[in-house]
Amino acid sequence: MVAFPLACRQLAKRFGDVCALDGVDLTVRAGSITGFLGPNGAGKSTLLRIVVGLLRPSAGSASLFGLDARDPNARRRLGSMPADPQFAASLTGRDNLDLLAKLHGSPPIDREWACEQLALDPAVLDRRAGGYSSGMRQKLAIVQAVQCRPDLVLLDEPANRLDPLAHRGFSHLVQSIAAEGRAVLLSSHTLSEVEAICHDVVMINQGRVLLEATVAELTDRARRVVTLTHRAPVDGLPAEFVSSTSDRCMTVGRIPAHRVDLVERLASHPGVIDILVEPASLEDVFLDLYASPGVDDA
Amino acid sequence: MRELLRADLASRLRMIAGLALGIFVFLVVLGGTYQALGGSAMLGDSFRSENTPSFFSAFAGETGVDIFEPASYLALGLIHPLFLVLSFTLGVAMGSASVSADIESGRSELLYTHPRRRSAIIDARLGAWFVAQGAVLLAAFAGAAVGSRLSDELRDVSLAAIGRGVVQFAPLTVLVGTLAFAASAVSTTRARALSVSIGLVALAYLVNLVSLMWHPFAFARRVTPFGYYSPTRALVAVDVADTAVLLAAAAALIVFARTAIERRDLV
Repeated sequence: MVAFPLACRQLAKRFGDVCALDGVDLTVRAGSITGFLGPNGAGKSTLLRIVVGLLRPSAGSASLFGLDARDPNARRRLGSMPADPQFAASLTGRDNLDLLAKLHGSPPIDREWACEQLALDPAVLDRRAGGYSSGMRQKLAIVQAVQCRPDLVLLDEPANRLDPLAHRGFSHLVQSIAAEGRAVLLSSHTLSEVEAICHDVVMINQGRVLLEATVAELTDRARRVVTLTHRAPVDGLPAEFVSSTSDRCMTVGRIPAHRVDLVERLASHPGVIDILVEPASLEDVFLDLYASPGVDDA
Repeated sequence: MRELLRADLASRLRMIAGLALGIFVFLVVLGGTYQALGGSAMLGDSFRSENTPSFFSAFAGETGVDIFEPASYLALGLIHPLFLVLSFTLGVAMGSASVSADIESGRSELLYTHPRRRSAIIDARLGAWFVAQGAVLLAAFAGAAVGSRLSDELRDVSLAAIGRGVVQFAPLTVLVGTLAFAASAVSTTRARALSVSIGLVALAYLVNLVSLMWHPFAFARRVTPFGYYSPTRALVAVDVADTAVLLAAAAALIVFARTAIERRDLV
């Protein structure tokens, strides 16, 4: 049996009457970058906090490499970065990294490499962390998560506040980690980033996993954006074409994936002079999924 | 965990230095002004004719003690409310910040996510506080020693006696500090841990004071930790039994804090 870097089975967490997680099943494969998506309050941070050992699940289990997530031997293979990292303000960045590496119990063999990737000047590490900008704190948090070369890296909103240069370096850093056969779980609201670097995506809402698929599968399954150009307002378009904006000369809408026949019907519709079909982005999938009636009531 | 201990001490350096200086100056001034106020003769003349008010004795942590006697006057300094505040501040501040402040600030998400037992973090914090508290108590000893040398009559109190007074006081500071650590281990905000710690210590002090002033309430004295600390008697000999009671209570609180932090959610 394969021991996945991360496997959650029927994971549940209640805070009093509030159900933050409700029977979540989730798997992260070795060598993959998994995007973890959901609106605010969906349960993403709760799940990550259970995995890193800050919270105890009310039911179900979270395992790292086949071991209980609370097992020190499992946690030794884990690196994590919280959404709002807070370092000891009176210590330098380097001292903070040293302290966290000591707590982790492994040498920080990837520290210099990670600093290079994120364009984090070594001189900055010798300054007190209390004086860091939010962007520098973010870079330091990413470095501390990966410095001991963990086999699974959990990143909660990692690209927030990163400048474009560091952002590019961050993408490269994450891809390099996955290329070495290690795994990354990346919680993010930046859908373009997830689409660009992730292999798999897990979408969650109100404590439940809505879907788990590869990015390619998702965008392939998603509805296509179709732009119709016409000389005069058109009537009688097929019901499956759901228009979002329309004016005298142009109508933009969506059609279900794989409905080639519908494209042909729209193209040959009286008055239509041009048709543009665009592939769906992850953002389209996200909006489709979370804007659907009933999702919020799930 | 030495790194965490060092980091905690570094972040509290100014506070430790301030409290140590404050307690040193307080005891130097207390000792130095004894002679200036006229010493035992003049102070005694002012009050002895009507007997020393029980309120004054109560502040010295004893009943029936003439607090204007040189040794008792020095003992008064070792339980004076300002001395207590300066001594307990460190334990209450570091203890109440030990867990709840990490949760409140979000620092717990970096500290408690490593392959370590959570109690190891609290152990390191306890270690840092012990070192810091030791420095403050050392300053108290130095202050009392210097202050007593500034007054002729107080010079009769030996350095060993002053040392015994500070040693007898140490378990009380340990108990107050561990109370703050325990409160922090079960709280989600530092304010709550602080208010619980300060509230309980203030209540205990008040009960102790009332029990010393009002005989029908004397039985309540041994209910509070202050009932196990008498600086007047400590200057003569350390009470091992009282010290053991305070340390045992402190040990129980440490066990409670370590157990609580292992079982709770850290958010």
